[in-house]
Amino acid sequence: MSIVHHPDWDLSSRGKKDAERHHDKIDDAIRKNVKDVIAEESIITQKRGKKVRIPVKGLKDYRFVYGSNKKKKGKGDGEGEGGGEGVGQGKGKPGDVIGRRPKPGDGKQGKGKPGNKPGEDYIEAEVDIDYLIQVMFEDLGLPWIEEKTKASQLVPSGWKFETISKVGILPRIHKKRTMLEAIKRNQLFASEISEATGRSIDDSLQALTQAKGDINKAIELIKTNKLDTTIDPYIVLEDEDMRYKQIEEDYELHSNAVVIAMMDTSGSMTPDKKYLCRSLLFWLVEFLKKVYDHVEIKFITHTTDAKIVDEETFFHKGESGGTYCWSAIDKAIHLIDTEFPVNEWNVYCVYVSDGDDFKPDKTITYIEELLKRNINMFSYNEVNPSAIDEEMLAKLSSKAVSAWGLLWSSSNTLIQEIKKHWKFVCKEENGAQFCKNEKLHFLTATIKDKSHIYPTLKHILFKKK
Amino acid sequence: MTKNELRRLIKIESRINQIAQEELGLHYYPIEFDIIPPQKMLEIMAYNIPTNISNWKYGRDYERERTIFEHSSRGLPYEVVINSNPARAYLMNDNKFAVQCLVMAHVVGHCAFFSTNKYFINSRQDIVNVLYEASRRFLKYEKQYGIDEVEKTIDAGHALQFHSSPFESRETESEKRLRIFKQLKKEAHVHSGEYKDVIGATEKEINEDIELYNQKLWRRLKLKTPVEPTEDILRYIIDNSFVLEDWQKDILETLRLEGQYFWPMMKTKQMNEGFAVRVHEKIMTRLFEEGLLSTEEHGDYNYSNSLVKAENPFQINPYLFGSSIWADIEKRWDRGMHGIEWDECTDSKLKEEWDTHENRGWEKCLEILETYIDWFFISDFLTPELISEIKLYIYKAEEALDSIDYVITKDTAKEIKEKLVNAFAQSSVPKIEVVNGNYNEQGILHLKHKYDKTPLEATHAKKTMEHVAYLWGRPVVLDTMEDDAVISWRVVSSEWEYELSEEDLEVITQDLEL
Repeated sequence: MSIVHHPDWDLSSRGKKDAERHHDKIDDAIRKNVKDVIAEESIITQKRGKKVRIPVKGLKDYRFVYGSNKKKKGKGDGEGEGGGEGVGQGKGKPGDVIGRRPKPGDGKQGKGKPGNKPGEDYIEAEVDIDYLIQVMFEDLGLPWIEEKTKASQLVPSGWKFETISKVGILPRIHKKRTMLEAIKRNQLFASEISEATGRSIDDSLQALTQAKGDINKAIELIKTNKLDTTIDPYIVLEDEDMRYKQIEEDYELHSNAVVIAMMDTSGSMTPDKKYLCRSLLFWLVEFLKKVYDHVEIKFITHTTDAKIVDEETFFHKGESGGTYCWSAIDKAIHLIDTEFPVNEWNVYCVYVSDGDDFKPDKTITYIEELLKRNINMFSYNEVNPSAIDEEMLAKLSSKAVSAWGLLWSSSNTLIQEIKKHWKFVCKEENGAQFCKNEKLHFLTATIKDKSHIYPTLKHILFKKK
Repeated sequence: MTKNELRRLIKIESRINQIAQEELGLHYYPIEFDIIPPQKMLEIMAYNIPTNISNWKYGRDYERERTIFEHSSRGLPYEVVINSNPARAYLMNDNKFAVQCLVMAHVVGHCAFFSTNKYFINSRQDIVNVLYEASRRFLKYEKQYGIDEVEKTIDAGHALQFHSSPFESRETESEKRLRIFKQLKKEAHVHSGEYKDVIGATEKEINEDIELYNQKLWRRLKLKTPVEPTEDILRYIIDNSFVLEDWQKDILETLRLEGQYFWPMMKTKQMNEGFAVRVHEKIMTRLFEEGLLSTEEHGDYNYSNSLVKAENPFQINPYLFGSSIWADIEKRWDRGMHGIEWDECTDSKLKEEWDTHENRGWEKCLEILETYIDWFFISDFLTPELISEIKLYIYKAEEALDSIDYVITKDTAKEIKEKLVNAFAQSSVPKIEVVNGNYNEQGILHLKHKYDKTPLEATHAKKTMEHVAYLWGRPVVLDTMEDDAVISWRVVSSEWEYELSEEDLEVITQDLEL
């Protein structure tokens, strides 16, 4: 029997190494489920950092196990296997509810709090936001970007070696230029020697080599017939031959781009809707920051009145009040006219609202006005999580989906007005609707669910020149 | 841990051993304790055995343990013990002193269990070394054959490692064939003379007939693989696979060995943990009585012990459940609350005060220790009275308006017991046999699930079959049942450019969409 104390037990990195291997596998899973990951609320509400911790389902190891294969209700995502029944222990009489959790896939955000039923094991994985963006937005970018003729912005893009000087430090020596100078000077000296002594250039070079670069000594050598004709002439370096590189800041010319992000913060924006708006714009902004070194982003929030705010306020503060959508558009137009003229700037306007507008007619005229400015893109996104229940959708047969369209239109929102006014090519995806007008560079999206955020971003950020 | 504390711990250790051996009558191999930092503890817990091989699953479990530890572990007495000779166990260095004593006493309980219970007889006592050597070899394989291939093989091996039993027969395939041949020959011989007079055949003719029959039988047996259905799937695959390389066989043999090491532990989880709890409670009580631990430490101990024995509304806690049954057994055999007289007594008052001063409780426990595994144990000793006493219930998921509710059912103690016994009888490893290694004369591996009213989970089954197919190198078919109807799943990998013909599809009754 014995007890041995190992205060400094070898903390081998094996656990970490194997954990990394598991992470690699999770990365694959994240790639496949990126739209679930980006809808994770904690990322947006979290203090801005480079890394975020997100809950990830640990990968399973498969064995033959018992379990029911009855069709699971809902999407069955969070459904634990065979989780329908079990033996427990504690206080309680028949009929007592010992635990409760939200139904999977009922499409309601903000209520996504975990139930108190132990579900599957989750692991908190630390993920780099940049990495997520990289995974998500491969091949995405701002559409319709143009070279603006006037006044491109000078953008520092690091350092470059441009000029050569006679003074400098040894590490920055420019070998080629230095040798060139030396050869030039040696040839010059040789021809001088040749002139002075009447010998050939080759002999002169030999003399110069023998005299170790001293021209007077070389002439003397020849004159006193001490020239050793067996030596190979080489180039003799002198201080004055030295050339050094000089570093300078480098600039690139970039097309200017500005993104004007507008968000409705009025009273009709429930926490669910706000969450969707913020998610959408959060990822848009993060993406732009990552991919474009120099894109200006302006933030506008509005109720009945619009104002320009900073990023922090935009993402973290709430307001309430009535809704004049036109006020935001008006503010954007003002911004474009005063600060970002379209002949110098690529202008992108992204607007998110629930479409519950007090004066849709006026908004339409303002949008017309905005589009007249020939901006690169205007994207209108309407969030409407309560429009229809996922559950209800599932019950409707495919035939009835058109009826669902009717249901939707019964709530008369801004998107309806816009669609009346302009023509779009539309497509539907899992209950979200994406429309595009190529000519006007006008995009709309109608989303209800956090799973729609990713497709919407793809819709807005298709790269097209 | 300071030097003084260590000295004190060593003193207490020898007292613990004294109590365990002299007062409780336990036998076990010597135990070596290592005091280690938490990170190392978490790592060992994830790897099960400190020298285990490298695999992403252990990395995952390591992170999981770490997450739990960081969020909610305060005072939880982590323990790991390896069944070897000498036994190895680990103490976490920042545990409180009383908790260290608790863990040591608990480990003594486990070690006594390992060396007494007959299901552990065949366990490899050198599993630590076996895995240590293996992990070094596997690293070499990783360099030589690539981590992906090695990982695939390990994953497949892990999937199948419990499909064998520690009570394997050491009979080879040809020995088996001979045995079955002799058996069938004998059976045929018994009947051969029966209608001699009716047919009017001579002795010679009958003998020729028998000879012919025997030849046919032998030929048929030679074509049959496996000769008789086997549950040791991994063994069969290692011996008969179309594709396995030697290094892969090495990996699989190792994992099969590891599976056999864990097999009895899985089968005795409730008993084993319960027994260890009983032992540590008894020993700790003695230590406090003797004043070896202070009053303050009594508080630490109580807190940790309550965490160990916490009720879980959704799951059975083996520490609590197992120890409750052991305590009940001890009480019943101390007071003679068993046998016909007790069973037939209906007077509840009389029953409450029942005491024949039999005082054989602990003795009975040690008897049970030797021969039982979980499901016999629960079947024999979990009484309906105990079920209501420790408040066990069955719960079911019910769909409410906008949530899923877990509701306690109206099941009686008897029904609860029935369900529990069933659950433990099946344990977690379904019985699956290799019935044919040359199904349809096409080298297809034919597996059969011995259905016992609980179906196989389809996603898991499908993924596991992919593992099997990877090792086997040809298609794999699995027959099982669901809702008492036969279903058959198959895995045909496109990699082998193999397709089942229309006829084959008919043979395989139904292809379930997975």
